[in-house]
Amino acid sequence: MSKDSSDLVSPSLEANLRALQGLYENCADVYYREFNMGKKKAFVAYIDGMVNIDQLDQHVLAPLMREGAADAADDAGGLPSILSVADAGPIATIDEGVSRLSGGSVLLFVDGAPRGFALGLAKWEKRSVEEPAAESIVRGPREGFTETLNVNTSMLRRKIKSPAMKIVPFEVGKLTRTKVLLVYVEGLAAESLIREVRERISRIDIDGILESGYIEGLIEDNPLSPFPQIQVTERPDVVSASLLEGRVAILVDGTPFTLIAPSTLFSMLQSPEDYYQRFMIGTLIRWLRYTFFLITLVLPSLYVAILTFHHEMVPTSLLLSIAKSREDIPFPALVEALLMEVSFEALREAGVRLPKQVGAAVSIVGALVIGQAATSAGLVSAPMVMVVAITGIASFMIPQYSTGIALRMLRFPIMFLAGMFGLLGLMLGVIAIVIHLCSLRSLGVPYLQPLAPMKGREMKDVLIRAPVWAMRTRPRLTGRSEPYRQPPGQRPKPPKGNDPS
Amino acid sequence: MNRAGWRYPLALAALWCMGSLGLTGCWDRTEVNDLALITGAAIDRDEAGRLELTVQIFIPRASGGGGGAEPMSQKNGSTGNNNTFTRTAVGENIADAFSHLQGELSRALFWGHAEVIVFGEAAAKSGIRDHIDYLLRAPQPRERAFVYVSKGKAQDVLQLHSILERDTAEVLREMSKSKLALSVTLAELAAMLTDDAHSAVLPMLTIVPAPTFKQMDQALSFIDGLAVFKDDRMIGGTDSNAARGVLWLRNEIKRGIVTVHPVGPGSSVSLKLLKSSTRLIPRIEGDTWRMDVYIRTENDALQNTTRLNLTSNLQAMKQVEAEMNEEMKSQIRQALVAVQEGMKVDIFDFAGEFHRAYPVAWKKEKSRWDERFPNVEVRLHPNAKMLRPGLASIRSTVPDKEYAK
Amino acid sequence: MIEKGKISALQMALLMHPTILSTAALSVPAITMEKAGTDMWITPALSSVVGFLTVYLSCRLHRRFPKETLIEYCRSILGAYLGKAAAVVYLISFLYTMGIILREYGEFIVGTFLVKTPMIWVILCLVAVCAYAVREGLEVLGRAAQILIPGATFVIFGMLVIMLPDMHLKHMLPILENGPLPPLLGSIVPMSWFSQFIMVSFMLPYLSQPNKGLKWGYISVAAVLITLLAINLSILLLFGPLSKEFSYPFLNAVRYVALADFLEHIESLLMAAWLIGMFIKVVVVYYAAALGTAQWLGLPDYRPLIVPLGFLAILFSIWAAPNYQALKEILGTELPFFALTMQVVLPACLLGLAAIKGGRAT
Repeated sequence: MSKDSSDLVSPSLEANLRALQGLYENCADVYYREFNMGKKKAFVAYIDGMVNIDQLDQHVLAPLMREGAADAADDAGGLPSILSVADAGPIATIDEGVSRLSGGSVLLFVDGAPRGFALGLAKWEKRSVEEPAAESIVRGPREGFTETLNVNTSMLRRKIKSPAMKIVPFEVGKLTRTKVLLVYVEGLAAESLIREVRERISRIDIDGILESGYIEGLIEDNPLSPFPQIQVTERPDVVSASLLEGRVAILVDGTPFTLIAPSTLFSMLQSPEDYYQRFMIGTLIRWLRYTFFLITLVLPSLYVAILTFHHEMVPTSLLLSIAKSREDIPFPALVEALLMEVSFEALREAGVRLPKQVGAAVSIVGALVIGQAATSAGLVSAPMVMVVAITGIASFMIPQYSTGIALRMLRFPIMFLAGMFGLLGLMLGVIAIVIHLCSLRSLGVPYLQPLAPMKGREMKDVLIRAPVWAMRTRPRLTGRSEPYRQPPGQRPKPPKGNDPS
Repeated sequence: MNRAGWRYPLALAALWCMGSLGLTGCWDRTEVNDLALITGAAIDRDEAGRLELTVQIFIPRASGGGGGAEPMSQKNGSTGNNNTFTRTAVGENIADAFSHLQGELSRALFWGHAEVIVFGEAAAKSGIRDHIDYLLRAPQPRERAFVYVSKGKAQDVLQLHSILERDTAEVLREMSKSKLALSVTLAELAAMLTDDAHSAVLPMLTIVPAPTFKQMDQALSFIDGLAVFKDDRMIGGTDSNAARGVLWLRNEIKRGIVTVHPVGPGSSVSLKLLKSSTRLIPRIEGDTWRMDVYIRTENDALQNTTRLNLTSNLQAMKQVEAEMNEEMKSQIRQALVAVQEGMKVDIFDFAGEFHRAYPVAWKKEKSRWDERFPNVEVRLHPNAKMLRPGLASIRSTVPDKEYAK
Repeated sequence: MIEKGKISALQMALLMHPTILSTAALSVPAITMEKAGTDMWITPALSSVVGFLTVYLSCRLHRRFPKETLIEYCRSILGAYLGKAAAVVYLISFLYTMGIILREYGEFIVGTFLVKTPMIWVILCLVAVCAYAVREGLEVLGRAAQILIPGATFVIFGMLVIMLPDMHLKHMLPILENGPLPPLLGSIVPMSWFSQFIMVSFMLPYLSQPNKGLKWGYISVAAVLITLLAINLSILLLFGPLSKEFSYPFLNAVRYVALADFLEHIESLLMAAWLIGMFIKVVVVYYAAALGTAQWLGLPDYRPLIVPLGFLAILFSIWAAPNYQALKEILGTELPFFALTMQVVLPACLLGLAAIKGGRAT
């Protein structure tokens, strides 16, 4: 930002107008309204569609055009006092003015005044707060983030009211000048972590940020990994819970998807509802999810391996019935599995992309073609269809969409390995994935944190979902500022006896 | 940074090359469609002394019924049953016969699910050690396959029809698993042949012919008696009564029904065996070697045609228990007479018991065990317990005067 | 320091457990059965003494040279020339050991599961995965062990539990029929496996809590002892004297397992669990060889050495023996003396020399 004299707001109205018009040449959406303020000339500039015109008329133009307003404008600080606008701040440079203008403010310049004013009358069409579509739950808050940053921060502030929650702004992107907010709770998030995130965000030098995915791709630890190392959510309650665990959140203007870091594989496998439902159910569901996590990864490969290499492993009667159903299938099991998996992926992708009205048609066609016709035409065996269906369901059980995608992607190389070496190849593939997972870090925190390296105390939120009163300590991420969440003895113990029977 | 930048794609490319090279191989890949699943095998010896290997093979296409062409050649197998067919080949040993068999079939024979192996009587009498060698050495055949000896040709057993089960091999397997009769797995057989007594015992199969010619497919085979092996040669068989005695001594009776006559012939009490355990306690006193056999059984009454009131009369229960002891003794005596005195083969593993209890004495006597064994004195101490008289005792409502007689 | 990661003492113990066990569980029962007969279940207890001794020696040496690995303090104790020479012998012995391990693994897989697959492919695939793991460093190895080993151990012990109904206690008797000599002779071979605990000397310098090294080293030896005891006993109780007829008795034992009609023929599952152990074993030796070579050559990083060392190890695995019988012969006769000299006697001498010279870390 150059601070030379030409950039400063000039006392001459003409100069200011020319400066703005020069910057916004060929920008049809920028409007200028010149008017007289008593004897003085003045103008307002705003971008069409981003400003509340009613308020501009009532609270800015009307009082200013009234008699006597010009006197207040004589001393530069006095002007806001006669405007009934909450956010009315002075601007010293044209550059500052431009950034306020593009943020939806109205710029007010008065002839002879050494400063202009930015009036926060921004109002544009925005989506209302809705239930997040990608993360639906049965019990829990139904609100989700929107594309508007201040709506999002307000939702967070409503949940964590303590001033310890800090919101640090950044502006990223040379052309988009996107507002990025780093949110953390002071005293819970480690100093080193905040420093690291600040540094990584400041390092970004790019023309534009259109979605938080850009930020994710630019700050993650291992960009060449198939696994996401930063959690993404559009739920304010998930962000708040993470903040309370000492993580940080990164909000990006223009997208409801918020980044949470550091995150581990296990945090990706948790749903907020685990905590809202009773703890036993939460624990059971977690284990179900872990099981199906493995199934997503290996079931088709296991089927291929057993059916082409280890026939003796299948119980005799099961093998005989599989043999019957496979008798007319022209493909080897590996090809059959690949065929089905690929068409399933295509079906899923088509279902996501298509308009909702057509989506139903796709699923009907898919179910009929793949499920019914393929088996009766003798192209695919019925057990294979079942395996693919279970795998598909399993992959949808993973709450974090990007983790599910990673698994779905990795099952193809494992299928090839299983087709080459049977269970041996499958295991080699799994071992390689485990090593990769062990080597991953999310902002310095090992990806498999409480399991490897083993942190016994944190297992209570991984192997089980401990009752709320038993979860006394926070997970230890990079540092530990405040280890305890609550004092001991919170377990409810209602008095017993003396009941009227 | 840059170095790492090109290294990764390079590694990926190398992996890709390895992968595609590997795929050209797929050396051990065998589709289920290319397998002929053996469900059971029979080993016979023909008149010329050559080995006949018969395998029962599952027909995957047959399930839907109709359609499939039925293999109808009379000589080489064919059963009316749609699920399986049998095939026989002749060779010098199993491996040789197997290769001939494989030559006749379009699909790779697969032993992995062969749960049943039947030896023909002639093959069993000429020694089974060579066959066991193949079955344990080759990686495919299972150690848990059940082994039998059949009266006559073993292949006849596999060619029978099965009405209840999928195929005859499955029939035999289910029978062995029910533990009503002796069941011996391949590994157990191998262990018996290598242990101190150098003898073995296998269940003997008998074929019951079909009631009429029209009901050809109702012929069946069942376990009837035992085949006794000295070293690896079968030297004789026992009937089913003696077989029961052998099971008592070998502690292999787990289920069964015993019928006793506590008040003389004409009326009986049947007991259901719930639990039985046999302990062999060897004793050496001077030059006499003795074996004390303690058998404890627990039973429930199943049917009572005598006038004894089992529900309320403790004395009657004692009477039944005593009679059951006698019954067990007599069955075991029969077995001892047939095996210890007749065939002089130690199939009860007395040798192992003496070895474990008296290692020093055993070492001296080891070489003379065959002479020693027939003279081992066996003392039986059966201890039958009747736990419950059953749900109801209709007999107890018979008028008292009838009781009085 | 070439290695910058730190591992916990627990991770070290977890890494060492399969390093000893994975090949021992396969071939040792048959080899000891030949000498010790039905007393073979005692042999792990006797030979574990060597394990405890090796851990003790390594920890004492570690206390004198807390920042150095075996290769480095060879030099510190024996001087520049002799030390370098001793180190080179160690490095070659590691490569040779790795070759033997790979060969055992290849023989097992090709002999039982992938009969038609060329052994070189089977070995190559494992080495490729191991190379990737070694590249990621000790820290990642420790974590991978923490995840993989409990699973594999769970599978193995689960199989032992399923075997229980088929076990007969009488197969164990009579105990010590021919006096204590057979089990003593039989325990010489497993000793060579236990002496591989020398590998801890490559991990001790990188422990996050160095004072816990000795304790967890002992725990690891004890864990190996218990597992080996359980495996030996289960084989013996299952098959009795027949055990010595099998090439891989534990494999046969698992093949024999049956539970409720559907959990049968699960030897492939054993192969999967065993592969995990085998992987850790190869990786530990591979890592020691790579790190040691880098330290010997004075390189700043061991990663460039991974690929050439891997190829060398594959070559060693092919040269190690012409066939399975010869390999078994080597395992039963030559290897024990070679291993005991290299992994027990030489470290003991080093410790003695260091004590005499009063040498401390520089």
